[in-house]
Amino acid sequence: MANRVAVIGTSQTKHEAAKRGDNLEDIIFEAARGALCDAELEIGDIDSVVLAAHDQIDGRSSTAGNGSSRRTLSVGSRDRRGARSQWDVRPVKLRGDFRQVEKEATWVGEWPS
Amino acid sequence: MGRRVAIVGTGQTPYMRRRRDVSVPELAHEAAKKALEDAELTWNDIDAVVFGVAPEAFEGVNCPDKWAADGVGALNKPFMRVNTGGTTGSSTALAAVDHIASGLFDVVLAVAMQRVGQTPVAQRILGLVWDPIFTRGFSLNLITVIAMITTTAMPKFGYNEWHMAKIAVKDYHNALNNPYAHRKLDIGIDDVLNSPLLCWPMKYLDCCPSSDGACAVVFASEERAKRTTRTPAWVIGTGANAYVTTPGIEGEEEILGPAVRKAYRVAGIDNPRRQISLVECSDPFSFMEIHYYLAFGFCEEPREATKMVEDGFGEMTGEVPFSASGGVLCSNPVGATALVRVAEAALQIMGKGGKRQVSDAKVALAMGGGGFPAPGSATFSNAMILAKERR
Repeated sequence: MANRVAVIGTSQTKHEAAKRGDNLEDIIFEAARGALCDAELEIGDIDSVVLAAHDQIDGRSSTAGNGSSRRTLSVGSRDRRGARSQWDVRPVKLRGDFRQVEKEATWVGEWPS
Repeated sequence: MGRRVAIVGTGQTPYMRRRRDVSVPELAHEAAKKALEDAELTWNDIDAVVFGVAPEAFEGVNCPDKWAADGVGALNKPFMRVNTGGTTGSSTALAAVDHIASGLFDVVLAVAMQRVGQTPVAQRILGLVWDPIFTRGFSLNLITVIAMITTTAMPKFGYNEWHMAKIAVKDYHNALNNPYAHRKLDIGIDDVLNSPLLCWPMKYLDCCPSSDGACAVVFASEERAKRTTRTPAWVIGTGANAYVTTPGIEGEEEILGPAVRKAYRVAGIDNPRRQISLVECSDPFSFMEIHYYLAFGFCEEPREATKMVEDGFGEMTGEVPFSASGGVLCSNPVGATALVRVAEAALQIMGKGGKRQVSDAKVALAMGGGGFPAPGSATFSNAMILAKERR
């Protein structure tokens, strides 16, 4: 082994037969946010993201694409700060629930004239 | 970056609409076997296997990776599947590099494949990437989204359908020199302009075919690479990026540029126009190459990129040849596509390019782009810089 590696934070969503209130992005966000809180880190501290999923079961053509985007953009976009995106989500406020974060998402992009 | 890593062998299958003669493991095996023969290694020399396959809905088989594992020599070895849409191949390559750079393994086989020919409804499957509530109802598909991006970019860059056709013709001609290419056409600009319209300005010959095929690349640590071959292609820089956008709002340089710029930083490249010998990029649609001139730092502003098309910048005889293999426009086995970019770049560096060899190839950029430029989905990009000289 080269570098030493350690686990510094974990999180799980509640496991149930069907998440009726949450969609795919919601549950990915919930787990990721929880792990960051547990580690007392912010998304800016993350260098790279690995997502384990199954497209067929999720009913998407690319869970990786969906999982690292939009509301969960804070989870997957590696260059979030450097590269301007149209949702300026502030994932630093991780203590509230998902809906609170959603409220703080503001549109900063411009439609082409 | 950890330990030094090099490519010591590559293998590809011929790309075509349907490979009726082989099954999933047989197709993957074909590419893997060729790569091992190229590297003059045996199955026993491989420490771990990384396997790339994008939406399995294309194959019509659940988890083709599990079916193919034995075919690519993964028996009793660490095996991992990678799936990041159109970048699957380059993500597979990056995972293999990380396997070795971390010090965990010495020789790693990266294999990627796709059988798009097994599905009659590729656009329908790609369309599942849209958010089921907010956007799926619009029934946009990849080509209509791409057409939106193109029409937004046209005034900014100042290119028109003629420029797009010129690049398509260049790629089709390059493909004539590539024994593996799917669509090889000896045609002129008018033939592209007169091909059937799909969604303006995208015409049939501005868009890639869907292909069956597999690609394999053998990566090795410094010590093993030196023992294995005299002409390794050294990995001197890598970069990866996820980006979220809405079609038309942002340009390719912001969406697909960051990964390349990260790789430039690692490789110490500050003047790509002088330091890069050739580029293999993810260009499934003809206009993309124009955007890449800007995104990859070969020019400073959009209109300059259009001028470069007129000057033949990316042609085989040009300053920096783009897609000497014919590129993605000529063959697109989705999951394997981005690994083909790495393999083709490595072939050029190793001097095994045959009729498509770029003279004096010292440093090559292999870029993979994928995902979907749609709200609700990320666009991924990966870059790998290969060089003749170890750094």
